[in-house]
Amino acid sequence: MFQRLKSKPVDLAALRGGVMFTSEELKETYRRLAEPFPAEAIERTKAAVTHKGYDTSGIKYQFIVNRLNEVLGLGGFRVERTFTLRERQARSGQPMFEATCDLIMRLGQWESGQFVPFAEATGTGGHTAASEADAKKGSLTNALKKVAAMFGCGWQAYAGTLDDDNVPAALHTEQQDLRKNGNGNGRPSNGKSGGNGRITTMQLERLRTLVADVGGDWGRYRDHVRGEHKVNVEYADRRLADQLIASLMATVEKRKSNGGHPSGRPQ
Amino acid sequence: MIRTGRSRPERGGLHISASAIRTIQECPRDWFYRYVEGRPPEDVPPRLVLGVAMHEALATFYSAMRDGEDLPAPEALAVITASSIDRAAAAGSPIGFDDDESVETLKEQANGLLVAFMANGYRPQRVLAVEEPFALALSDPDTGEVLPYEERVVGAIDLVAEEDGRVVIVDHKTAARSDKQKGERADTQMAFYAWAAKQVLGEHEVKLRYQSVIKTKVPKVEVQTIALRKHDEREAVEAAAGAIELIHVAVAHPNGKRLMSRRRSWRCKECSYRRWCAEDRT
Repeated sequence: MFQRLKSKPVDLAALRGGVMFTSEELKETYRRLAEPFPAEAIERTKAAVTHKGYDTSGIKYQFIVNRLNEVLGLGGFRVERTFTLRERQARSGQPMFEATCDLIMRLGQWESGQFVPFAEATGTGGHTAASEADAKKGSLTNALKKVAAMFGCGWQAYAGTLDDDNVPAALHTEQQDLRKNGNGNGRPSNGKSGGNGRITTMQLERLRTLVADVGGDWGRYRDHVRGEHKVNVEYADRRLADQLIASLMATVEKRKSNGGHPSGRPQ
Repeated sequence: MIRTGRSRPERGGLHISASAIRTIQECPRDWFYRYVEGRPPEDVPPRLVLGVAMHEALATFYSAMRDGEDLPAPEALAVITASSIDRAAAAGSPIGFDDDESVETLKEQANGLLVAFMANGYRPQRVLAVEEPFALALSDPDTGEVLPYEERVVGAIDLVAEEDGRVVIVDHKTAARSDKQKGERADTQMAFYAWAAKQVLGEHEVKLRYQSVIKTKVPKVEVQTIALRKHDEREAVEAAAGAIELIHVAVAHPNGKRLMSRRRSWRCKECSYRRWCAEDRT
């Protein structure tokens, strides 16, 4: 969810000669950011490559950046990045680098040499690679895509499954080690799900958040899912979880476009 | 130093309980109906209703001990069991009474058990915790290695007490008859409690006891020390890992219910899904 700044650091109205962003302008900006991407923007990776036990899909980084530039204008967004790097060793003895990138993205405009933001979102990305540079680049890409999705840009890729960047096959053992250490994505693959295993903890948390965002009651929502799909939501498969998340997100968007306000939930 | 409450369950995430593991082991189809389909039970066995009521009463008793308050009188505990039974009777699923049973006979039975408990129930030197919850990542009991599952093992230890400076884990049972062999080995649930106690309480050596309130003609209480064998905890963790693997397979499979097949036993006659199970075809 994107978070509107509660206190404006600069008097936007004064800077813009009395013109502020209207509610309609903000809605229109969101609508354009959230528009679907063309087929060539989607990257799909088979489970055999990711070794995640399921296929992943995402939107290519450059398409996200292009969308931000096209909608917001050149210089219409700004990022602050903080990297954390950890050196590890693969079982083969090869040195590995695990990078995380904490990223703040602000949307706004340059006014008299000063960037004036009107919205801000934060997020974290991660990547493991054999070189320090690749690890940092991957974590930045990962973080930027996730944060942009909070403004609606590329949200489709995260309607349920937060795909990490693609992991080269040679590193998959290392990635499994990371999962064991509790990065929140870890789950065994039973090899039979065809990318459709049990709902993940992240999906479950996403559903809970979205139910809260639409002002719903979790118990009643569980009853609803059980009635509609004959399954307790905790035992839904991932595809159903994705559908449920997409449906709730559509409800959230509909409410926003009908004049409701985003939740402002901190990231 | 005894520390409690270090690992409060986070029920929001994926989890598995000792009860779910036992259900999968005893009858995978029962588990599927209950947990995956969320099917409401056709009825609830009276023994379960009585067991829950007795747990509530004993929790109240030991909570008073823990807090240094006056111990509740039998009449006060009888109010708790009666209230619990009334709530069960008013809930969605009926209680599966036999012809000679009713809510009132169940309450009388509870009163008899309470008398036995008040006379001969377990009285520890000190109560440390009552209904102590835990939610733990599944880990190898020998090496501590965290196993790669998102599911947390959750549960609540009925009673954590102290005797001669040692921690005692007590599980309350409401049983139909005396079982002298019960203490010879820990069941999966108790093995989990031992495993959890090490992590939640920071204790490496704990005593385990069953306190069985027995529904004989003249009710009685038996407190048994449980011999925890070296491999009991490992087997419990293996049982949990196996159950989680099965869950993943069943959820991913296009006909998971068929995989979770019926396991006929004496339990079928009081199973909460016995009628549906007889009709259901996969």
